[in-house]
Amino acid sequence: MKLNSFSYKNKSWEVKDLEFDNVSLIVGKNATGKSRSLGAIDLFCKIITQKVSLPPDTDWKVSFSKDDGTVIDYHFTTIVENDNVVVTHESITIDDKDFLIRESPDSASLYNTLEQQSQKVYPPANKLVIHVNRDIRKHPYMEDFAHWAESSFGFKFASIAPNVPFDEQKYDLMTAIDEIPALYKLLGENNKEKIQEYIQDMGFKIEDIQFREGTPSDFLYIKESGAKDVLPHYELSQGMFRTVALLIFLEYLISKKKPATIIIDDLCEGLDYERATKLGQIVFENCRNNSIQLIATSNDMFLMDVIDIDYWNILQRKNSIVTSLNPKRNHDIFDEFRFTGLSNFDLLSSDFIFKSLKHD
Amino acid sequence: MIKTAIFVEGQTELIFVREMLLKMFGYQNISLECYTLFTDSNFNSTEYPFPNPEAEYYFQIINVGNDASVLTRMLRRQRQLFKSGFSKIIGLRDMYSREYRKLSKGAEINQELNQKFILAHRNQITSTNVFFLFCNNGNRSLDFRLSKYL
Repeated sequence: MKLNSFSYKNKSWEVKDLEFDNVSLIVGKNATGKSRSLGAIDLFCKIITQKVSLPPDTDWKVSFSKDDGTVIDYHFTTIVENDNVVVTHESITIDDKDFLIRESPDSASLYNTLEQQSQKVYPPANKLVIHVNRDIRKHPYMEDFAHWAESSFGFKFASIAPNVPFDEQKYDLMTAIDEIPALYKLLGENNKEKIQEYIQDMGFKIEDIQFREGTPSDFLYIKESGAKDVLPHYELSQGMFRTVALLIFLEYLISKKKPATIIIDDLCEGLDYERATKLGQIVFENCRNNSIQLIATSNDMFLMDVIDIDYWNILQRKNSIVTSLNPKRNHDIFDEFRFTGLSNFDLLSSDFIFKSLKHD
Repeated sequence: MIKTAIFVEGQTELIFVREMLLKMFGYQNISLECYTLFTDSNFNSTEYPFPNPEAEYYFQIINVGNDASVLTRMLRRQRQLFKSGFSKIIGLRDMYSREYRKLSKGAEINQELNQKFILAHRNQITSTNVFFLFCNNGNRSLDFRLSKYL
């Protein structure tokens, strides 16, 4: 199952109608809400898996599609009543047919697949029906959400740093996994060789990566060609360290987890041209080849120039509302841009969009 | 010295333009330097120069590495080039690019689309000393068209 579109609103912020493909690149000028949008997807995932409590005063509209083409829309709203978070609306429609309708906090109509009819249920006002009414035979469609959330992962590329112990880093999003050295330890020899090949292809002169146990967290030791000694990971350059960490993260997920969606914030941040374009291509191609949905944000000019604008969501912010331009909804603007002969990055950096919107 | 910068999308085009210029000038009174500019800040000299300090005509051929970057790179450098004595800037790219194939939806040549490409490129150019040429038909007649701008 993959994420088709995502809208989210709280008291101070609104993200409207982000649309996603199998691979998507979210771009936007500084402070338009790229990381915040991924943060909202991360929060949604954690709500589904009950890693966090329901946030107050929020509205969520999320659409998914399954491999067979079925479209599932999920919508819920929370408010605060007497200092308690209360769900005032919750609905699931599948291919436009209602499976869950909840118009008040304490009752809902829920479709029972076994009996092929809707039945009344009475959830606690502060809980989602998808949490309190799970039944894999009566309501199998609700399992799809849990399965998607449990098999979705994320990585904050710009947040991982060589000089911070792994157990103090906050680089993962969505469903948490082990620290990078532990993931590397779990990989098979063929996976490790694949990582080596990618690293060498990117022009980093790394001969070998070794796992070593440590306290309180484990280490990776890196052997560079021509160097006498192995280096602990915290002595690597930032760009090399981030690249190695992301490649291990990706290879682990692909080989061990069958991920549904991977989100990556600030992909390629801080890398030079050659490394940024190669890493971007490795990540996009691996996700595409393994049917993993990839949603990445970036401000990196090099990466934007090599990722086709067909995969872009351009974020724009007016006050506290973030909207997106993308080829599905704004194909005229994207097609017109192709005629100009300018490079992809100019779509973001020039006044082309402003002029096109003004013209419309 | 009359200085002209020519931006091309790849090495084949760089060699093509170099050979054409040298033949046009009969290897006399011409000086030529070749560069790569794969990112906005990585300007490196590359092979195939033809130096001649006495020449009246100087050409700088710049390979930007891909067709979608030709116009962008030349527009970003035009101010600097004019400031350093260049009198003309010329860009050269394939008409039948990936974008073209996408927009023509499989159809090979579409005159209406060609005109739209030419017009949209022209709209990005504000200086009268900046020119842009599309290559098609295996570069036939390109030498004639390019010579008009020299």
